[in-house]
Amino acid sequence: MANRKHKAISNAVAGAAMVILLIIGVGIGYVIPKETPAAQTTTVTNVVTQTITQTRTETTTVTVKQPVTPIKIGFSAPLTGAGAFYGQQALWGAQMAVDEINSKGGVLGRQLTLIAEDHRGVPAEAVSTVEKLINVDQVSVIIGTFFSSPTLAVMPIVEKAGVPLFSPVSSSPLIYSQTGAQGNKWVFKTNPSDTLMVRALAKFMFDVKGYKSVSLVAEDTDFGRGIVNTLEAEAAKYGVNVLSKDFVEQGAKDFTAVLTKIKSLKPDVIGLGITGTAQIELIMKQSKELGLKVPLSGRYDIFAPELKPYVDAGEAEGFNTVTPYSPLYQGGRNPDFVKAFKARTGQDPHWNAFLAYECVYVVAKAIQKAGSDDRAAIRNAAEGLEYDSITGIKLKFDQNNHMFPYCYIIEVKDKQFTIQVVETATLK
Amino acid sequence: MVDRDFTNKIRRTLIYIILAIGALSVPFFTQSPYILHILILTGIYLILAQSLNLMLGYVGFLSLAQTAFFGIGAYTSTILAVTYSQSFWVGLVLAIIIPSVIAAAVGIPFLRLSRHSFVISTLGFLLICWLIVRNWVEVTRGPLGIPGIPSPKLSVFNLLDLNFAGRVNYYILVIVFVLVLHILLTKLVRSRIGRAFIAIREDEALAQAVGINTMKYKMLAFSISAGIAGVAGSLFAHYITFLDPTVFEFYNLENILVITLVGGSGTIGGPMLGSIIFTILPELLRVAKEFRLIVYGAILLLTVLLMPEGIGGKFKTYLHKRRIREVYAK
Amino acid sequence: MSAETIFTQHLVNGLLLSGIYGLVAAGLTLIYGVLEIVNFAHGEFYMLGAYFTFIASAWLDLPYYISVALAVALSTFIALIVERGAIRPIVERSFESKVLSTFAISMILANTALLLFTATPRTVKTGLAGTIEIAGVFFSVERVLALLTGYLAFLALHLFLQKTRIGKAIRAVAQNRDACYVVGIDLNKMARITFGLGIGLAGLAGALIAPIFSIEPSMGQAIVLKAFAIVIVGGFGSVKGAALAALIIGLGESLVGGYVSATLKDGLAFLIIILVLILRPQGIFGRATRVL
Repeated sequence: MANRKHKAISNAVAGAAMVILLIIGVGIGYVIPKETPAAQTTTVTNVVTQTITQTRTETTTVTVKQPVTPIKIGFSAPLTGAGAFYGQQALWGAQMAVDEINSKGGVLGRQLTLIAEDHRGVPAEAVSTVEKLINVDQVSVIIGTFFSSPTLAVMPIVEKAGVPLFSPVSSSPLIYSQTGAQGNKWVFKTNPSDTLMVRALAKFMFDVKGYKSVSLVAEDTDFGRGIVNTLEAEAAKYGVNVLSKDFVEQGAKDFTAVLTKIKSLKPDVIGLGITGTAQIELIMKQSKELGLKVPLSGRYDIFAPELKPYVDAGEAEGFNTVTPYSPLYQGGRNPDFVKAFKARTGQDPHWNAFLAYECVYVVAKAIQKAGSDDRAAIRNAAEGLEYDSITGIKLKFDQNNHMFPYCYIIEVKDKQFTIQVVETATLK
Repeated sequence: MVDRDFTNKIRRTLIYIILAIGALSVPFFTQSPYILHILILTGIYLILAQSLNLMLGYVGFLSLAQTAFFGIGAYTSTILAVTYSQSFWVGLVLAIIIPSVIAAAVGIPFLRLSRHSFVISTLGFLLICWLIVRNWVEVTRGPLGIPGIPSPKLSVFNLLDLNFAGRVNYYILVIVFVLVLHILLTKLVRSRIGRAFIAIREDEALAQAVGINTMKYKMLAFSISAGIAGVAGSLFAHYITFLDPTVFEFYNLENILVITLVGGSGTIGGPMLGSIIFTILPELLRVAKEFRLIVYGAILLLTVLLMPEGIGGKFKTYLHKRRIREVYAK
Repeated sequence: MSAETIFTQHLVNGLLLSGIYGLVAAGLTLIYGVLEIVNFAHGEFYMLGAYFTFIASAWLDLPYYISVALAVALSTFIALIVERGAIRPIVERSFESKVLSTFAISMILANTALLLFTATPRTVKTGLAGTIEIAGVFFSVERVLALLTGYLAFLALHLFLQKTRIGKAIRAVAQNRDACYVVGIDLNKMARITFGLGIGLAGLAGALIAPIFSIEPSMGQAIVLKAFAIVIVGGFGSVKGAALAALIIGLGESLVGGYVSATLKDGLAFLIIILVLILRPQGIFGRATRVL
């Protein structure tokens, strides 16, 4: 009996405790002042000039420099995990640009510092990295995230925190449709979207080469699906037959089932929504084993050393890709860039490296125009900013904060690469 | 005897109150968004760990499906908020109900199996959920994920108007959930139902022989734990404001396994300790994720080999022994 | 290409998968049968086998078949260390403890590989080129050799278990642990041998598959679920069952991938796990399931 009474009291106490907790919780919500989105203003005093009048009639001006704080640029990329190669290339490119700019005196007389964080390709992780860069490192601007899903995840955050985000590689059309005048004014895109690039590729395949039928294979990601959807739409425009459309899981290694099916359909070309070089090599290898001789087209890195044996053996004739950059392009100052990058890292620059490199220069120009490292000032300065790419094309952010650099169609002919440059602005 | 029980209970309640006050007063000491971010994640993982704790620590069944329910709860709440414009609270209620119902449904065949097969089938269930979410693009947008999840809002009769978008407010929200869950779980494990759970854990055959309907209690535990995981999922999604299939990744599972086992499965306070250690520690040591997981694996292994009851369990044993000594000293 | 040829092609692809899956599953089921452990780290040993082959052939420049032998030896060696340190102490403890122990080992191994090799896929070259064509169906030489070696290994396993004394002892332990105490079989020794054997098979499978697909640290997780499916369908503890189930699942995957959808082919294994557990939990050849 005592037990039952005790139990009843205990339950009542527990119930009361919970109600009290809720009330306290709500109360605290009111008591603590609301956070305001951080609009950090940093006053920069760089140089103090003193004029000393000596006893003689001469006047000497002495310039005393205060210690100068660097301008902090946040960098969120997949440095480990499946995308580590791309993240590393991007970091190399960005760091090279930063070092170049610093060696010429920096921006506004201050040096640039790149603060890099690893998001492993996971959107929630990307959120964490951006949080840290904004709040702990107090960066003025962020470059990232080099993968589409993490970029989508952090876009609302930079908007709320009032920090400009420059995204140089993510190509999902979803990002593009939300930026600038369409919604998020804090996000800037410096690279061409997949939609535009695939349109360039489609024009090449269906108009120039005259392929009449295509089979589509893509990885089951936003990237893969985006490419395939655009190719399908373009094929319809040119009156080309889509014979099959297959999705494989991300990172798939066994394409024999799909390739066997495609072999029986005999398309003129295979459109790929897969970008991993290891997988492209497997596709080439498995095609060869199956006796499948259809050219591969898509958005992959045809220069990769793993694919070289196939190109050299003449097994990649007619293979073509569209990329946002190619180290083989001889125009503008690109050859110098490639040489410098190779001397620095021992590797050819991948498009991640190039795009990150140019993005740093765009950011530097925005900071220069803003005249300070204030986040809002940089954002305002970036709107409509003009920039001359080292590839020779003149770029400018349109009202949606998009730039339209070149994209490159590369085809393998007689074991050599031919490059065509396409102005993406013409494909809108 | 009764007096001692009562004193212990008061002591426990006092400790709880001190902890609660401590946790709730954090925002008065620091409003650093970064620290609050860590603490919010700690709280969310704690809730998820308690869901595992209930199944493994109290009923004795290792369910690897807890992160599946976490993901289901997250997606339920998200889809309701984004596609159907429902409030967070509606989403939350359904994030509890839907995983619970699914758990009950799959529990019927799974819980009849031997313990070996149960573990594997929960793993299979996790992977199927992952696969479904990745491919049911019309509803979940697949790997694209769902961005722009709104933050919870609370308005009552135009008197209150709270938006939990701010870090501080969200932290309080999570802490309140953690504390309420703590009370409810404590009540549950000390109740007759809780004792049935423990009986099943100790010796299921014996429990059945004594007349306990083990199937009913196992189902109950599975459903409740799924609901708890669903809550964690909902809180997670509305915090990150972006949801994609990576919630089903093994990383979350490995995280809560370490938290629960090292903290102490079979105690309510154990996972609390575990989640604090294993969410704060990695932020202090900013080492590569892989290295961290290697260390986690090693800690997990050592714990299983040498200290299977975890820190919390060891502490409980220590208290128990001390009490016995006191009794005999009389 | 006629419909029959396509079908045959899918079938041939499926046979290779079956061989590899079968080796991994056989090891898994043996370990369960003798040690009563579901080895969650099994996939990681498969992965180790592949990586050891990679190290031996790409970094040490050894010929492929020597690399394979070396890889199997190394995997087995590590298996023995793991058995001594992490499995032996808890062989008599609760099932959940054993599962968590192997889960922890899998965490350690997978992330060590990730740390050492990064996630970039690696390839292994065998130096064997060429494709054989028979009636419009294509077989790459590499795959044929892998297939043959795999099935040979399976045959060797079968003979070992049926004809040798140790093999028979192992089967005895799997059938009735307690009776073996009475008869005087050294259970610890059997456990060690079986664990080493099971892991060796997984390592061999990894070494064989290394040149055919690329290697990455997550390959262990991918295959362990297929292996579980096979073990469940075939019945825990039954090598014969594993062989048969491997054929079913390997071929099934190839056909689903070719005729239905490539994304869903991985779901086949998971679905089978759930269906079999619901409808016939003991699998085809398994012992009657203890409900408790």
